[in-house]
Amino acid sequence: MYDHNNGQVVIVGGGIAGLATAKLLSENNFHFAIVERSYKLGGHTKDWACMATDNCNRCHSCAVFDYEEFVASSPHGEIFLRHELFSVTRSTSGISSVGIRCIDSGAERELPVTALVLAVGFEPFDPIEKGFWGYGTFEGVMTLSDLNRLMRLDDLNTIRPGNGDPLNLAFFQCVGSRDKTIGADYCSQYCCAAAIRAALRTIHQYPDSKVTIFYIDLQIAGKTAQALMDKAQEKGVRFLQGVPGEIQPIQDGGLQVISEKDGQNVVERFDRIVLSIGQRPSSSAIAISGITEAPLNEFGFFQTRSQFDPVRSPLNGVYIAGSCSGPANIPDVAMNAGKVVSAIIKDIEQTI
Amino acid sequence: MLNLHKNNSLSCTVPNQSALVVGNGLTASMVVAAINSVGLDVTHARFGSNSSTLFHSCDNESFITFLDQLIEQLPTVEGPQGGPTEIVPCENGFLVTFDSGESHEFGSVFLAIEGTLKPAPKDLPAEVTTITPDRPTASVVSSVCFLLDYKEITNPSIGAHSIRVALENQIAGGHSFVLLRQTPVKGLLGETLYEAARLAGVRFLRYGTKLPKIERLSTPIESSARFKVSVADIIESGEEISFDCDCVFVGANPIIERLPDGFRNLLSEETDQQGFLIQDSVHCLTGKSFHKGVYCVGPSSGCVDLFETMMTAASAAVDAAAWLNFANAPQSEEKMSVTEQCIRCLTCIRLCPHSAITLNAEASRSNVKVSTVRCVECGICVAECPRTALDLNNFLEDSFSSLIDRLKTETSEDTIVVFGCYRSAGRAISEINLPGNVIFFPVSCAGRLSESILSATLATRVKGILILGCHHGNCRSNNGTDWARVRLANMSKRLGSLFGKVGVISYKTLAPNESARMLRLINNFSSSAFGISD
Amino acid sequence: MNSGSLAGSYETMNLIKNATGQNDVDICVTCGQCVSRCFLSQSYPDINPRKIIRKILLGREQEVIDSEFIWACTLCGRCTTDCPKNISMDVVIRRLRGLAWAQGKAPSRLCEGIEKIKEFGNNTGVDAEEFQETAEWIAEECEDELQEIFEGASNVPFDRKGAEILYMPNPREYTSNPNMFQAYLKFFAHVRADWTLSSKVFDVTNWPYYLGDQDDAVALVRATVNEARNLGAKILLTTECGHGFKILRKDTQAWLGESIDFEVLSIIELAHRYFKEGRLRLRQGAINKTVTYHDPCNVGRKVGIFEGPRELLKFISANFVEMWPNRKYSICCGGGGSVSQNSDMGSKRLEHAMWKRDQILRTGADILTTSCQNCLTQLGDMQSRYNMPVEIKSVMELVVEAIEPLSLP
Repeated sequence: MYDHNNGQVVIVGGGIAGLATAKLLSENNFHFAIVERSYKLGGHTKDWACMATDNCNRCHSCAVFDYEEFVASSPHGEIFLRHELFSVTRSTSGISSVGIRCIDSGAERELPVTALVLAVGFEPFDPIEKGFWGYGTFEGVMTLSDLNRLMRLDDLNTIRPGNGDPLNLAFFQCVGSRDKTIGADYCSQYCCAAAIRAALRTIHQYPDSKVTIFYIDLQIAGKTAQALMDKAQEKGVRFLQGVPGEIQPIQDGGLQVISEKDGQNVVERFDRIVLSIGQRPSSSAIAISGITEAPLNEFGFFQTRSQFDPVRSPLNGVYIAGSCSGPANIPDVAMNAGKVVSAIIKDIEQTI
Repeated sequence: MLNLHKNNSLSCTVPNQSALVVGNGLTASMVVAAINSVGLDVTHARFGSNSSTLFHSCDNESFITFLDQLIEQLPTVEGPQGGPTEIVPCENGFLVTFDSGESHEFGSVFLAIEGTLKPAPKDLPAEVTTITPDRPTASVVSSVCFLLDYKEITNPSIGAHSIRVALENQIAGGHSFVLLRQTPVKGLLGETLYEAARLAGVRFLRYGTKLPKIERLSTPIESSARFKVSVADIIESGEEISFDCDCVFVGANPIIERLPDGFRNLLSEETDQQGFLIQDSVHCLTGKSFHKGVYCVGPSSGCVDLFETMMTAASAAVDAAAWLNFANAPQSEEKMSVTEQCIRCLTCIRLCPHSAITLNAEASRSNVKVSTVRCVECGICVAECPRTALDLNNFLEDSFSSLIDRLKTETSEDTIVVFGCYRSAGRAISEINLPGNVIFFPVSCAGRLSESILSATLATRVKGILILGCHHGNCRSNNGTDWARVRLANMSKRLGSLFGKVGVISYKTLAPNESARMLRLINNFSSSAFGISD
Repeated sequence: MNSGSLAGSYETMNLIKNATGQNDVDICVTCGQCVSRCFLSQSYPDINPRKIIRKILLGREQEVIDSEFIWACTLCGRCTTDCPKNISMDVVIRRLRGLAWAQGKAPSRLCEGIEKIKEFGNNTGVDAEEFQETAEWIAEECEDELQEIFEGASNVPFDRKGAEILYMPNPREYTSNPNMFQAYLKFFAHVRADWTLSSKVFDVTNWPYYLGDQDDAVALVRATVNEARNLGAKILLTTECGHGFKILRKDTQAWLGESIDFEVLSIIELAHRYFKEGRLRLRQGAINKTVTYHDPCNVGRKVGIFEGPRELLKFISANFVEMWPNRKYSICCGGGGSVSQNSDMGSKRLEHAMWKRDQILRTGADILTTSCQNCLTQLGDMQSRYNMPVEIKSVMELVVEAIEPLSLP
């Protein structure tokens, strides 16, 4: 093993990507420092609800607890909450140190750097940008994050109709994804499986619930796809191709949409509509790119060298972890972290 | 710098920085390269097919560049031919025996064999062949039809590969048709590929429950098979659209290939419904198995995507480096103790999900030996040991005795005991305030709770016992939750009519991010224990 | 057989591509958003915008060309507002109408209109002399009021070279709806506008546009532009018209392939500009009623005029309420895109307008305003057909009602 005590890896972002990277670094004897803007580690994943229906449905949201526990107790690392990056000092081979600042006190400090990992994550799409869905206007229109919050707080009962009727729920896929008009001409990768899991979770808790998923193309990658679909179909989840572009309120407090079914336009009523919002580049990506000079790609995510070198920034000494290089789900991020650490080990080995 | 591992001795070498890669195709090459990158010694045992079953959706040129670079950086690491017939965990590695009869010791082992694709469905004409990474090649210039999602969702990697080939064929002057239910728009550039294909004139036809019909045209034209394809587009929804084409390819998903015996024995319980290896949520599909130091990358875990396989290989290699780093470090404490009560019944060796217990070769000492590095202290073995010869040093049996003593004196009529796995309930509890009558007792795993502990607790006349394990399929020890469930079922069968009199016992599952639900489960259990229905 | 029945579609697709410029229809990902936004979806349950694109792509465009749907469509463009792939459905429909027209399948009333345009320069068949007389007669009808504003205000200016503004009316103003013309005259008088009418070009509408008859549509625009240049106008001012204004404002430069050195403004924009400058003085809260505003598709969604009329209306009315949805998501009145003019459609345009009716009724407004002559006609017809308890006015009519008394203290 190499002696990795000569420097440390600074990780910008303490979400699941940052934590997974820190854990693997620590396990490989690297020192690390996590610089996180918020008050807590774990990012979006920490707020995500468990999607188990007594059986684990592989949403992997619990993984963040394992990572966090490991990282927080690691003797190899330092964690700077409420801190942000504000400067970098370059060397011939890359970046030699970074300046970080406490958001609350303004106190600054300099951290030596052998490698800089950008793990600033993503920003959930705000559907208010597209008024047709009436998000923020109609109470019954919510996002997948909102639904998750309810599940996390065990408050799913609050969206059931008051009169004891079964809940009639619809999911709208690709909200803020695959959309040229907002520069998001890509699939957000996580939402199809997330919506199906949320549907299963809802039916598990309230078996009389009726769930419809409106989709363009279902993107549930790999070996779990068919199993997840079969389970959803067995539980009566209805899949309809075509996502209504407008939600109208109706007299009884429900929501009405028009969709196409078997070639005919049909009107349908739902109690609640969940918008499966996509992943947009992090709100801090532009600022971080400005400070570090790590370039962004056409979509606003951090650019990587190539499809086959998906974790190195074109800028030497800078690595891109997790969803700040493109939308990803939790397993993608975990794998990506492995690739980041592998690249760091390799690059350091070559410079020694 | 890298040396072929040539250790022929049967004893363990310390430190052990070696990795064995079993496989013969592109997957194995990627794994070898990944292991090489993290500085471990690598041995490559060629086993199985060398035709790649990894699909990619980038253009051929960048793929070829990638392969060239990959091959360039590969160390010469030939090892024994053939597959391992036996893999036996030892102190800080594995003793692997090969077909040839030779045995070597490795710190970690990687299963990286190629997969097999299911054959084309029988109801299609015999000339319809499956889409493979090398077929159809980009040089096809004719009218070609890709049939995806036929009877089951085509793996998105195979779908994306088809779209790329369809696009290349269209650009080269051919006509391409893609019949599908779900367009694969995989990765950040999937949408871009799909759009490029549409704009180039590739025709995408979206069918629903009505499957497309592929007929072989009766007029045989020398070597080229001609087909009539009929499909009802779900959106247009008019009559069927039909067209002719020269060749038809169908997307078929991978199936698990024959595993080397050594791996089959080791990982037999770690398969999903389709027989793919390693489906554990605990490790986020990063190639890790429940056995420390055993990894599974690529098609045998159901993954046929080139990029994903590359990422998994890197992740697994980094994890292996970390594992060997840990395993080779001096361990300060023993995690388990074995008393002389041990009768060498081997129950613990058989049950340990982590291969942490081995037979002690030195007969003069205790009969079994516990690997400090492998043991995660789940305590399943402790709970099942017929002689109570085992104990976890950090979660002592005595702590249960103290709890029971305490319950005997302190229990009031309404006391409820909640046993919860530290990993789920133990974390969730930090966010909630328990009702005053509830005693929470964290355990190392729900599988640690033996029937005797539960019986003794019930005998203290507590009002009820609630066991909170991790969700099924999310147990860090694979089957700890199953143990809890089985023991509970046994107890209720045995206690029979007594059950209602001595108290109520129930088992539920939980995740660390379910604190609110945990409180509801406890309250509901509490209500039912007091005869109040939910 | 090469690619079977799908082969023919490439040709049509290319025709449509040429018409739509960058917005190729084959970029459609069949997301389905458009299906739900089309107010015709319930009246024509077996066809919708997405299906039209799909039919074109699958070589079945003739089914669409032969369908009533393309003539029932109001070219409102709402279905493809925010289309994730930027397709413009109104462009696609106009192209399909053009193909139908070429096959002799266009509605007869529209074809007649085109003939009249070719003969008279406008679709009503009014000639220059008749127009001039009518305009003067309409001004006489309100002479007292105009004279009160200032001496000589009742003189209608024609062909005044060097006038700042060339005003382009809608034929309805000098045929069926003279009170509108009077309102504009009062506005011009109040703001002391330096304006003129043309005795040669006096029709803002563009029926060939409705038919997908691009050559004639461009010829009309060219005639209007030439007249504005000839008179040296700095502002080509259109009446409260939808498509005519939208074409002059948005399409002129692209269609003619040349730049223009005058502004194209709608009269509501000019009113709003003068209001901001203090040139148009209005009594705040003068209209003691609840007022709502219908965004005409062309003025709102296609040109982007949303806030100007609202600022005016909020200022002059006691209570202003919004419909939902509004602005760029506004629901079409149901009378646009030639549907009002097309007698073949009969009263269907009123039956298709239920979304709009319900939306209006939900507001509870006393006065419904808009700024498009076509919308006004349609909304007026809806009002009588459905007995809607609402008064219908143009924004300018209401603005003129709220003009401050002339004799300032």
